[in-house]
Amino acid sequence: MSTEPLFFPVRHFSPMAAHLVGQAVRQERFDAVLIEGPSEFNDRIDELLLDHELPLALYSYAILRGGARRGAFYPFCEFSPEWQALKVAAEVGVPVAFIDLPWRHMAAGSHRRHRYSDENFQGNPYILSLCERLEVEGFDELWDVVIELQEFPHWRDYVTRTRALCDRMRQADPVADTEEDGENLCRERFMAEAIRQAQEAHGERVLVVTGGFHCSGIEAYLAGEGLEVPEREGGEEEEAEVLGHGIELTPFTYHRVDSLSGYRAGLQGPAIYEELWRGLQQGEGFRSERVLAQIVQALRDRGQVASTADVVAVEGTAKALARMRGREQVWRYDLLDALSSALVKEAQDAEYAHPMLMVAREVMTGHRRGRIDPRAGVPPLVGDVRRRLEERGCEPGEELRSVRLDLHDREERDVSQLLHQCGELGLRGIRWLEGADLFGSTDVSRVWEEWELRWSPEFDATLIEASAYGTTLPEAAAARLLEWRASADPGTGGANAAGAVILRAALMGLEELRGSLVPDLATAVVRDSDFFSVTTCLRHLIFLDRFHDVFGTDSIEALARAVEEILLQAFERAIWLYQRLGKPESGEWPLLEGIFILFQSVGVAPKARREEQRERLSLASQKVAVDPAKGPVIRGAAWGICLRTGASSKEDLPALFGGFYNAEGVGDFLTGLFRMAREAFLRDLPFLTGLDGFLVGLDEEEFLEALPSLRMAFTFFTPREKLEICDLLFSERVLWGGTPGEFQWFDDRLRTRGERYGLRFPAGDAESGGSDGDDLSPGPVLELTEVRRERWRMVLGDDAESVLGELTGEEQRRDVHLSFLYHREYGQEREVRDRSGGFRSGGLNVPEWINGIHELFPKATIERLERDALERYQIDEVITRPEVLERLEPNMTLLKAVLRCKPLMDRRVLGAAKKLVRKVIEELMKKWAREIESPFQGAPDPRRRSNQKIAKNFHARETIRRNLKHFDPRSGKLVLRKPYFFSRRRRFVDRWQVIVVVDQSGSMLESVIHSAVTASIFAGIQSIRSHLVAFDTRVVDLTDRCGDPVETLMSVQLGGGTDINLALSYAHGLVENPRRAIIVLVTDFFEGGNPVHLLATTRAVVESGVTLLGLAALDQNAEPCYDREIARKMVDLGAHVGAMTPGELAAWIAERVT
Amino acid sequence: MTTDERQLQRPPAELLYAEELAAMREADADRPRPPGWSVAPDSVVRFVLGSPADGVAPKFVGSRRFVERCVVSLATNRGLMLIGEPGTAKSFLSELLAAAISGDSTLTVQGSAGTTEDDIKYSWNYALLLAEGPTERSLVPAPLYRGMTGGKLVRFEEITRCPLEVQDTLLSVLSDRVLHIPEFDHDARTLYAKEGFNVIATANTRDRGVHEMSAALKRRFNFETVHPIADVAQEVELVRRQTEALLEQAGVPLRPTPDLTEVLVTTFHELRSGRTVEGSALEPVSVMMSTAEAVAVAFSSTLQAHYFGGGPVEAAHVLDNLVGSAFKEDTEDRKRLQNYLEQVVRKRRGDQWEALYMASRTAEALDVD
Repeated sequence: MSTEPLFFPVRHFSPMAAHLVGQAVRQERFDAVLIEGPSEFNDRIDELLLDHELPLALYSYAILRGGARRGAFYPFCEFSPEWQALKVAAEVGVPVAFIDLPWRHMAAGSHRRHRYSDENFQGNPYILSLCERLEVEGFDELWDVVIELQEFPHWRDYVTRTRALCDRMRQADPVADTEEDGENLCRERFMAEAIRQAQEAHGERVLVVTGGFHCSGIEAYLAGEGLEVPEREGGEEEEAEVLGHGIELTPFTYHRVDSLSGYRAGLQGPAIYEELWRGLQQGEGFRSERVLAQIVQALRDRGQVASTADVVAVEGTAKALARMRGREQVWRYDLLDALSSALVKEAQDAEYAHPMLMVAREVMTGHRRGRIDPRAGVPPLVGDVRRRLEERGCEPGEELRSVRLDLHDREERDVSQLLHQCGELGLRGIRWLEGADLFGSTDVSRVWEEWELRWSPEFDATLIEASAYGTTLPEAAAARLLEWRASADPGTGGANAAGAVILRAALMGLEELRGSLVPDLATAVVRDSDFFSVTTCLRHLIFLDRFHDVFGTDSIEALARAVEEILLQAFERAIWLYQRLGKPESGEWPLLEGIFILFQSVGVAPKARREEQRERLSLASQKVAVDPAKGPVIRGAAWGICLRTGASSKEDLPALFGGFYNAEGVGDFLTGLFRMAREAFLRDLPFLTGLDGFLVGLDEEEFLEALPSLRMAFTFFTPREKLEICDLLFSERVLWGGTPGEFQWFDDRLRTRGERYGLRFPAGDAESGGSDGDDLSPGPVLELTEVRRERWRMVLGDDAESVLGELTGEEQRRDVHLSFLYHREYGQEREVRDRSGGFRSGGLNVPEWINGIHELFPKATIERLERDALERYQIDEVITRPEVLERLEPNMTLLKAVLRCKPLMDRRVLGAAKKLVRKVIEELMKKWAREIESPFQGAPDPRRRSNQKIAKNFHARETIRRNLKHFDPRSGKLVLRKPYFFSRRRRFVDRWQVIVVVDQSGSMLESVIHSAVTASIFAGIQSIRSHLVAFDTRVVDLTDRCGDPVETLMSVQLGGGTDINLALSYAHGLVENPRRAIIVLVTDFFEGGNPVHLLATTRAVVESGVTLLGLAALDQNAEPCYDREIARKMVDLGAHVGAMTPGELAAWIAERVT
Repeated sequence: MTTDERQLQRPPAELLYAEELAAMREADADRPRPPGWSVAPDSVVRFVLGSPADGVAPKFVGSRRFVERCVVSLATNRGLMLIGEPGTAKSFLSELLAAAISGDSTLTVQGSAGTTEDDIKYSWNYALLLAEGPTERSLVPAPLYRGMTGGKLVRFEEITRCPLEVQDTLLSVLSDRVLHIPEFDHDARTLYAKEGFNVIATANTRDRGVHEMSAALKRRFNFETVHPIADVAQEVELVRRQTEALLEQAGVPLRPTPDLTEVLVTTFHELRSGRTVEGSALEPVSVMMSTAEAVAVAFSSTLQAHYFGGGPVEAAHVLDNLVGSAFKEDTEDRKRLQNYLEQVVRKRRGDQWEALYMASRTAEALDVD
């Protein structure tokens, strides 16, 4: 007569089950306790009983044929029934064992890597109907209501109820007990077998602790009625697929147990279940007050307002909610709902939780981290990393050494991936030194890296720290990268960032992870509206595509397809943004590169799509090319694309040249054009002769104006190609005859000049006016030859020397000065060897160069050269010498450069710099003073209301007086025809406080300058009191210097971090009367500290009644680049956020103040 | 309903659902209720969300926990503030709550820049005031006064559009449940609220900043955010129901086909959430694509087809009305819509989707340049 095993059905992570299973094991003397858990750990099960701190997990992994590693976690918390069963059984001396199918048998087919998750119950029909009946939302809440929050007089009552619930769930499950559910059936058959063996070994009375869902299935197998298990699962051949396997004990965290933190498994709010567990242990049930107290404490720690009255309200609301939901005890949902109801005083976002609720959730998740008893051996990650490094011969030693790797070599690539993974984990002592510019380079032949290795005690320390991330290096690196990605706000990361993450995953060789990041990338691409960012992302993708032999993109077909899909999306997005490009002040260069990437992407598109993409790009380019609102570089690039796609021919170009008649624009246009399609013009005689005509047609000053941009344009040709151009232009055939008929490219003005220089035009088209070429004296033919030679020589640079000869005198000096700058264009990318080491100009230094250009070129040219020097080539030394400084044209670019370099300047330079600053500032003051002051003068008084009928304003005396004539003598009553009211006069207004708080990080420079100017003008306005505060990670109050913007600017320290919260708190402290104070916060909102604190402070500021205006930019263009996510959250909290010019700001303030 | 009531352009909820409410009151007669309430809290939730098993029609679409929070807030000593995008049925919800709890949803203050204290509390019949002095007879009660004396819910629509001083009228009423009438003598000076009194206010997130509420007043309200409907199928059903009701009333026999309604609602849903139903992301538009707006577009498209087309409602009608009414002036948004049509709609299969795309190719209204 055999005794049936007793089933103890549980939900993994169930305090009630944990509590009762302990009682059961203690009360009854079972022969054995059998637990659903990885049976491959049975021979080491004693390790679990050491002195660990929970949570921890068993991590089981299998290595499949083909090298893929699949791992699964079996996490345990203090309140896991499995854990309690194990502990108590060991305590009372009952044999205990895990009985689940070893992971290696499931690894190949299973995707549930968190083995104690139960998400697949959410759609169960029985659960759905039960939820509707009990008026709860979802399985979690249902389970809590029917099990966790109940009182069970005896553990057997629990068993009865849970079995009933789970059995009906199983009956309703469309998959369970059918062949489709192969994995579960396999496991249940295995568990049944294990139970039978245990009964034989230890005795019949065994307790089986297993997920409630499996009980009836196991029973069926025990009774010999189980379903035949389909062959494909766990069969012999499956076994053969597994090359190796293992199981390790590893620390876990509550964060990872929590289902909301991205692992999509486990339970919501481990800490609150732990609290329930402790309550049950002490016979008290769930103590919501304790959790609430913790939440309130956490809120206050973070500076959020939670008054005693609020707490009382939360408690009351929570109780009322619980009661309405038919419970005596307040539970998680009641608390969260009550917090949301009573504490959050604003609209909430549907997608992102409110900061206060985030805090509450954080408390409910808890910060507990597991620790493994050292007696259980080192964390597996440590061994894993050491083994991997040793295998590749690159473990860091005491001696510093460097490793150079060629990524095209398979072995060395593996090493690189290994090192990148270590780098991701932040292991001290493994450092990437340098490498081929993977992001920027177009050179595909060499992909290399250099690493530096050196051991220090920190290496071991960082390794042990990292072991919570996983048990193997790739695991841990992946988890770390994911954590990093998740820590960035989901909405923020632009396409660029998302692409970079994928690239990092690729560098680490984590293909699976890369796959999981793909949807994130897709979202980022579509949300991003920055052309530069989207095209950079496109470049990352193209790069991955191009180096697929290095990064192995196509080894996973689905991934390759997904990336292809995103490539397509990024392309579509880029095309879309391309057509909406504006004319940026900061130069068109980054945009030009973006367009080039866009064009390249067509070339690498899959064949099927290539034609369509080419067509779309071509259509878009045709629009851009003729759009007068776009800058010349962009239009040139668009034309280049049109030519290459065959959408237009060169004959269409002439109309265009007319549109950029300012000489500089032509060069810029050609820059764009050559970037895209220089090959098309290389041997194009008509074009070159046309350009020749243009060059010759310019007068001296125009030519010098055009020169920098033309010189830049021709840097796209290699020296060899430049020689070809010379050959073509100056060969006998062309020299004087030209090829007639091509000159209609240029307008009549040019023609006239050309004719005067002796160029001939085809007959029949010669009715030229020539009215405005008068200032030019017609020169002899010889002079023209010389002019042509010189000009082409200057445009092409010294590469053309061998054909066009040397220059002399002033021309030669000009050429040297141009080379100084534009030689910097050459380098790896232009497929010309870097020549920066040996300027032929021979030892020009920057001040000499500055002096030189001021002597040699007209003003417009100087500005262009200086702009290129500062912005494109970052030659900042121009402003670190006073003699250089004094020569400079004071303008915004220089002012910015001066402020950037200020810390490096010595006293002498500072004096000169100050002069320069003062000059620019005076200009700015003149420009803005009127616009800022005018709104404050003679503003109308909007509060005059005369006819408002309010009881408070009732004018009894006047009413009686005016209505006396309606006195009715018969009734002795005064009849009122019309009542009269006071008009209230406005009270005298206290002066408003305007506090300008400005972020001095480098990117905000222009705004800093304008803030200083604006604040100083404000200081002169009677009706307001202005303050000026600058900040990075510290706060500097500049109010006393506020009147002198030059002093202010000279005391600004640029750079450093950003602690917006600190600055805002400081400004808040300055406020005297909140209702009459405006804080103008000028920042890009990229908060360096914890954004939660910033949002809390924002809330406090707004709630105190202060008007908070966040300005992402305060400058002439008001074109901001800022962290939209934070800004949006601040708006949600009641701040105003925008971008304004100083004039607009003044108007805005005036409107509020008067 | 009586004949008179049937002629009402829009009967209040307590008349429209009089039978349901009567049944609930009867059933709840012996159940514990918050003082002054005509039904128990869980019945209110059931009334708002509908409960087919009990023969209660579904009315408002939203999560149960959200409605529960609203109901419980009203049973505490704080007011309820419903906040959300325009067109998310805030006012409708407040009407349903008032009808269920007090049996009267007409004690309503409509907030605007011109709202004064008199419109909220009470004012005077000035002739009587002078003739008789401040007496109950000369006092003209406003909704707040009536709600306090009758123990009923008072609705305050668009509270943030009122000037701050006017909003703050509610401070003492909400915290002490007392209204001071300084004109009266001694005892009559203080009007104590009867049990059952509370305030439901609504505010619009788009208008916020017009007159931000004071912190003191905020403390006296529980804030609940009304979100747009998250489930497309539910939204389709709601739009269908409401469009039909509107067309019924307008005497138009024509109805949009179910698949057209679905296309319309899906479009709204996707543009609003910035995510297609397949899960890929979009650039969300800045105008409010509310359910109410969807109903308006469906309604006006049908009218257009009925009076000017003579045929069935077509995708082109929908597109016209969508651009004309929802997108109004904003060119950026129109570009986004264009992008959506090009990127998403173009790839969709199905008669109405294809018709919508074809219509977009020729629609003049879409030209942004």
